[in-house]
Amino acid sequence: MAATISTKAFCKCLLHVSKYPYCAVNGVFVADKKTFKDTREVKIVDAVPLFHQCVGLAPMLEIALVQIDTFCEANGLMIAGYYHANEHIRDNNPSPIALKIADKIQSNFSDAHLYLINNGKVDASCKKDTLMVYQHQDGKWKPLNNANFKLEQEDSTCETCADLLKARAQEDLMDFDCHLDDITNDWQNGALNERLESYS
Amino acid sequence: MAATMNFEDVRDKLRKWREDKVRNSVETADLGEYLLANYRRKLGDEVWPLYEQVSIAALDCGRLSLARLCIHAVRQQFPHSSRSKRLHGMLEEAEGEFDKARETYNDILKDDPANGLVMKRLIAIHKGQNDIPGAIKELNKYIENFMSDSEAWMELAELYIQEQHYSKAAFCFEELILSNPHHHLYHQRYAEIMYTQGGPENLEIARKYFAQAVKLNSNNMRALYGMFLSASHLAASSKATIKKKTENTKYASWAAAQIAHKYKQAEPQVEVVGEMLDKLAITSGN
Repeated sequence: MAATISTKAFCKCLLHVSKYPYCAVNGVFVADKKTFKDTREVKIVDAVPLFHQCVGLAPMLEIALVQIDTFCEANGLMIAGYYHANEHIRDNNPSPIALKIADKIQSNFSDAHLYLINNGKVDASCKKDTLMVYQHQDGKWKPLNNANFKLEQEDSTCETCADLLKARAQEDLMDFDCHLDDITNDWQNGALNERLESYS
Repeated sequence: MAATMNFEDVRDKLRKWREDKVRNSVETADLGEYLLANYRRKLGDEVWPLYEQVSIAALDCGRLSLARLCIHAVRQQFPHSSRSKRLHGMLEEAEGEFDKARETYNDILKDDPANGLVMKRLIAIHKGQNDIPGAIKELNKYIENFMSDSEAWMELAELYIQEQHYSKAAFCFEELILSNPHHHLYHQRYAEIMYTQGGPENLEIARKYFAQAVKLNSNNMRALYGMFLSASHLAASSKATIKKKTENTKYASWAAAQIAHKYKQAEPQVEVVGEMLDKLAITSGN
């Protein structure tokens, strides 16, 4: 089993993709540190949306990852995955830049996976197969069967996500680019978190 | 929704978006559809630019039937205008008929060879087919004729970054900086590219351009962070001379103080950032 993805993480990822349907976006998944230590299970509890303006440059990525790291340490979490959506709707291959960033994250946590958004499957039903999962094996990223990860609450995760999209909650989602444009924009998305908690 | 909407408000909103070139496609398509369905007569001549605006918005969010409807109306009114032909070409692009679209555009160019917007569509076709090298080639040809089109240079730089040709992307921004030396975003983006290329010389250039961006706009957070990051790395480099080290430590701590100040003003995540600055300072101290 690669990982379990919580409703909060899945929704934030899909909201991010839906907020900027016309450009490439990326972000990281964070998992619970203690669960991994005790059971070796990667339990992804949250997502941090990173960029939409330019995903190919290093400096702001470094700043973002350091800040997320600090946030993780304070909350018993760790960066455990990377998600990426290509700009082109029919392009379902991880781009060289996506692979590079995934490599970096994997070098810090060897069980990290790369989740590529299957652009063609992004729709109002928010099914699990919107995500394609890749694993690092022998120096290369290889696609894994989708049975290797699961959504924490399965169908109800999808329903929550569909509800949020219908309510256009993506307008409220803030990624790190938004934060850099105006630092009062909260990349941890406190307001959205509260809204998500009311669903469960 | 429709019952509460006031005709004037909606019209003015869309007019403002059109003038400011705001890309609010989902709302534009919704509101525009409502106006066109209920107030077509009341709009007078403004109906035509609105049709154009709504068709582009509809294409943008994949509402092809709405786009077809609008474009058909425009085509009937202005069968020979290059603007309406271009809309038709865009519809063909959206339908995936790239060859037909290319024909449509080449047709327009025959009568109007200097039509920049149509040339840009030809470049967009390459992007639509996910042929980035092709798009780069076409865009270079376009730029030979339209040297002063800064948007085109920005797009070219972005395509180069996608292909990881960082030095070529940097060249584009050098051109942009020359064309407008007071634009902080050009300096900031150029610095980001130099930083990404890496190496002590590029880092030094990055730090200088981040600093210039800060000078031009002290609220540019990317530039402040970038200046902090590149100066910290330079100060930590084992090859740096003592003079360089002290200089860069000074720059880094100045930028850190500015960043901390900005967060204090804005408040929410002060703690996280404070810790982060400490953390980076520790790594650069080694």
